[in-house]
Amino acid sequence: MPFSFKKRSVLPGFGLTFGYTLFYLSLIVLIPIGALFLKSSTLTGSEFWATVTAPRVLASYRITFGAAFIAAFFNLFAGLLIAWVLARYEFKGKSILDALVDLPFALPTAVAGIALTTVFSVNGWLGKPLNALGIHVSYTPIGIIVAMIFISLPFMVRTVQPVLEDLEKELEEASATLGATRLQTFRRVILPVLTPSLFTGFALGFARALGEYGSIVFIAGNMPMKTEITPLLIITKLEQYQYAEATAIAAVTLIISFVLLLFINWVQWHNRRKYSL
Amino acid sequence: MPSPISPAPAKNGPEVRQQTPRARMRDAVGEPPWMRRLLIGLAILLISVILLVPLAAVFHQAFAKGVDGYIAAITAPDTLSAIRLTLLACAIAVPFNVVFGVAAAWAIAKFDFKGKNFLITLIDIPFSVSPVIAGLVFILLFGAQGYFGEFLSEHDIQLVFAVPGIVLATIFVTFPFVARELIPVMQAQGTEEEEASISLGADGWKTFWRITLPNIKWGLLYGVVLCNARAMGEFGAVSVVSGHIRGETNTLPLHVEILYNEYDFSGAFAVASLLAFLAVITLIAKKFLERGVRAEIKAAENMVPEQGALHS
Amino acid sequence: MSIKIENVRKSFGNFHALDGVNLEIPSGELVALLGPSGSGKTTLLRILAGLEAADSGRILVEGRDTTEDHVRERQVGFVFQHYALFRHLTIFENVAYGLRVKPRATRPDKDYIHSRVTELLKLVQLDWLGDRYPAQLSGGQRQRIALARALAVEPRLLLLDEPFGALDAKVRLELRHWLRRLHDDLGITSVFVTHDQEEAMEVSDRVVILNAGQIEQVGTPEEVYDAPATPFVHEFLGLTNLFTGHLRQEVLAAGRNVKVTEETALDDKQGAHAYVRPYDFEVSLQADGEDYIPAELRFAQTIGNIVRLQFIIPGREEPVRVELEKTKFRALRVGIGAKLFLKPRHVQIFVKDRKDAAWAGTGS
Repeated sequence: MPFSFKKRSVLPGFGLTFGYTLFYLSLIVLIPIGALFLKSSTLTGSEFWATVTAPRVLASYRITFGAAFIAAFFNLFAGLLIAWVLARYEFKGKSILDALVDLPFALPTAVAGIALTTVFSVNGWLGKPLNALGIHVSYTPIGIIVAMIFISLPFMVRTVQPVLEDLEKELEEASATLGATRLQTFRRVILPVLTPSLFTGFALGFARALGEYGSIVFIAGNMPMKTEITPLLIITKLEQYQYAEATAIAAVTLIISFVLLLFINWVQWHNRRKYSL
Repeated sequence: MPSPISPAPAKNGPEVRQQTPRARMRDAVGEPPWMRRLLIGLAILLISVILLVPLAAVFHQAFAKGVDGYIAAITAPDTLSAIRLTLLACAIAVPFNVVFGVAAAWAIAKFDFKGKNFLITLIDIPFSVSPVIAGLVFILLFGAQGYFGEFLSEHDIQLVFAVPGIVLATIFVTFPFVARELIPVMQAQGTEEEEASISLGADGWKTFWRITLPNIKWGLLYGVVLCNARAMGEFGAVSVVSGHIRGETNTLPLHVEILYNEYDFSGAFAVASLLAFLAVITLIAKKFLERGVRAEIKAAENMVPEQGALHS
Repeated sequence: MSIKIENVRKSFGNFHALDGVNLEIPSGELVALLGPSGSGKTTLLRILAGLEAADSGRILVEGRDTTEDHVRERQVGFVFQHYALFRHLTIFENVAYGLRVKPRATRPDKDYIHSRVTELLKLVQLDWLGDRYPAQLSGGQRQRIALARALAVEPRLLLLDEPFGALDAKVRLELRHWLRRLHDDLGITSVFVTHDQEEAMEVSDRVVILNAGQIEQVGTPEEVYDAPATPFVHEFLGLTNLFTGHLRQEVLAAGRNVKVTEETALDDKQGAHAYVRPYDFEVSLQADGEDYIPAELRFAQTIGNIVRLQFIIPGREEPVRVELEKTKFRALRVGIGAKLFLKPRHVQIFVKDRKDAAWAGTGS
C-alpha cells in the first residue's frame, strides 16, 4: 500500500492523480503564497508592525473593511430578497433575471469598473438624479460601496437560493397548522434555517469585496487616506519598489482572508453536523 | 401539481366567481398576491439598478461615436494584439486547469483518505486571495529582486512583465474553477460504475474515458466555461505582472484601462463591449449547462439511492 | 367534533384528485382514509386541514361551514408523513411551538407552556428527550414528537398523513397499537391516511375506501371486509381469485362452474364477477358433489404455518391461488401435479347493473 492513510479501493490512479494534485497545487498556489510570507518575514517585528499600522495603511483598512461590511450588509437584504423571489415565485422573465444575477461573476472587473463609473458619474444615468439629491457616488466612499455591492451580490443570492429551494414545504405547513402567522413562520421557521447560509453568503461577499480591485479603482478616485483601498495601496507600494512593505500589507490581508475562509467552512460543517436529518 | 407557494396565475376564466375566497385559501403557506407582486417588483428593481444598468451602459457608450468609431476601436492594432494575448493566455491556462481539475476530482471524489477536506480548502485558496496579491506573489518569486530573479536574469529569462507572467497569474486566479465543479458531480456519482468497469476487465484509462468522462461531461464543460470567463476577464492579477507594455503585454481588460485612462472613453467601451458580450454568452451557456449538470447529479442519485442520503 | 364533507371536488390540471366526495365523520371516531396512491386520500386530508382549497363543495364542522377558514384558524393538528419537525429547534421547543406563536392575548405564560410541554412529552413517553434536536432521534421517536407537537394546541381534529409510512415494520406495529390507545384516551376525532389495508383494519373505527377520487365504501373494518360494496374494495383488501362470466340461475359459468351456495335473485345472463379468497377453498382428493372443481396442483410454497398453492383449472389461464394450513396440506399427502378438487366455501359476487353501471354485491 503506497498510501497508508487511504482506504483500500479497487480503482486505480490514486497515486498519480493525488500526486499530481499536490504537485500542481504546490507549484501554483502554495509555493507562491509561501514566498509571500517568507518575504514578509525579512522585516523585523517592529518594522512589520510599523508598516502595517502606518496611518495611510490604517486608513486603507478602514475604508476597505468599512465599505466591504456595508456592501455585504446591504446584500444581506438585497440578496435574500432576490433569492426569495427567484426560489419561490413564477413570473415572466424570471430565467433572465436568474441568469443576470451571475453577471458579476462573468463580467470582467475592469469592464464593471468603467461601466459603474460612467453610470454614477455626474452626468450618468443614475449619477445625475442622485447628484440632484445631493448624493455623490463617483470618487467617494459611496462609489467603493456601490462597486462592492455589485461584485458581491451573487455570492449572497447563490448561497441562499438553493437553501430556500430545498426547504420542505411541509415545515411551513406544519407551522401554519400550529397557528403561526406568515410572519411568525418566516421569523421562527424559515429564517433560522437560512441563517447559516446568510452567514456564509455574507462572509463570502465580504471576503470578495475586501480583495476586489478592478471594479473599484475606476470609481473610487483613489485619494490616499480617503478613498484608497488596501489592494490599490499594495500596488502603489509595488510601483514604488517598496516590496517588503507591499508584502507585509498583503500578508495581513491574506491572513484575514484565510480566517474568513476557515470561518465559512466552520459554519457549514457545524450546521451540517447539528441539524441535518 | 402547482405548489401552493408559487403564485397560481389568476387566469380570467369562468372560475372568476370563486377566485376571491378560494385564492385566500390557496395561500395557506404563501404570501398574499400584493405582497408577492411587491417583492417581485423590488427584486426586478434591484437587479436592474445594480446589474442591468451597468451592462447596458457598456453597449450604449461603446457606440457613442457611431458604428464606424466602434469598428475603428476594435480593429486598432493594439486592440488586436490584446485580443491575441488574451486568447493565448486562455489557451494555456484553461487546459492546464482542466487537467488539474480532473486529476484532483478523481483523487478526491473516488477515494477516501485523511485530510480530504483540508485539501479541498487548499484548492479553494485562490478564490479568497485578492487578485492583486495573486500578481504580487509572482513578482516576489520571479521579479528582478525576487527569489529566482537572479537565476532568471543570468539565463536571460523574462517571466514577469512578460507573457509568461500573465499566463501564470491567469492560471493562479482560475485555479479552482474546474476542480470545484467536478468534485461535487463526481462525489454524487460515487464509484460503483467505475468498479463495475474495472471488474469487467477495463484498465484505469479505459474506465476513465468510457465511463467517467461521459458521466461528467456537462460538469466539466461548465467548469471550463467559468474558468474561461475568468481567464479572459482577469484584471487585477494580470495588471500587477504585466508591465503594461502596449501591443506586447496588454490583455483586453488591461487595454480597456489604458484607453480609459487616456480619456478615449468610446474606445475603452468598444473594447469593453467585446468582453461584456463574452460575459453575456457565458451567462447563457452557464444557464444552459446548469441543466446538464443537475441532470448528471440527479441521475447519479437515482441510480444509487443511499448516495443521496450521504449528501443530505 | 363531527365533520360533514359535502360534494368536495378538487382537480390539479386535468387530474381529478377528488370527484365529488361526501362523507360524515361522527365525533370522537378514529377514521382511516384507505386507498391506492393517486386515489385522492391525501388531498382530502389536506383539504380538511385547510392546506389545500377545494374547487367546490363544503366542509362543515359541528354544522358550521369552515370551507373558507384559513389553516391557522381551523385548530387542526396535522401530523406530516415525514414529520416536518423544525430541525433547528429542540424537541421541547418543537412541541412548545404552537403555544409560543399564539396571539399575545391568548398566549399562555412560560410556566404553563413548560408544564404543558412536559405533560405532552410524558404522554408520548419521550420526556427525557426534551433537550435533543430532531436529528438525534430515531424515526419512531420523531413520529411521536410530531404527534405531541400537533396535540399541544389542543386541536379539535387530528389529521395524520401516512403516519407510519416511513417506519420499519416492527416500529410500525408498535406505534399502531400505541396510536389506538392514545386515541381512546384523548377521544379527539382523528383521521389518518394510509395505503396499507392491514393498518386501516387494525387501527380504525371506520374505514373510508377511496379510488380515483371517489369514495367506494364507508364502514367498520368488518363491514368493508365482509361485505365489500364494489369489486375494487374486495380486490384492494387482500389477495383473491376472480372468476368472470355470466350468471345462470345460481351458477356462475367461468371456465368451469363456481356454484353459489345461496339463493340469489339474479336474472339470466348477467355479466358478473365472482371472487373467492385463497383461504376460502376446500381442497379434497375426491369430488363429493357438483360443487367441486377439478384442478391440478402446480406450485406449493410453505410460509410459516400456511402453504400457498397454485392450481390450474382447465379452460382458465390464471392459476387459482389457494391457502391451506400446513397440517391440512400434509394430510392430503400429495405433490406437484396431483389432480385434486376445489370447493369454494364463500363466494363474493358482483353483478353489473346495466342501468346505472353500479355494482350490486352479494355475499354467499
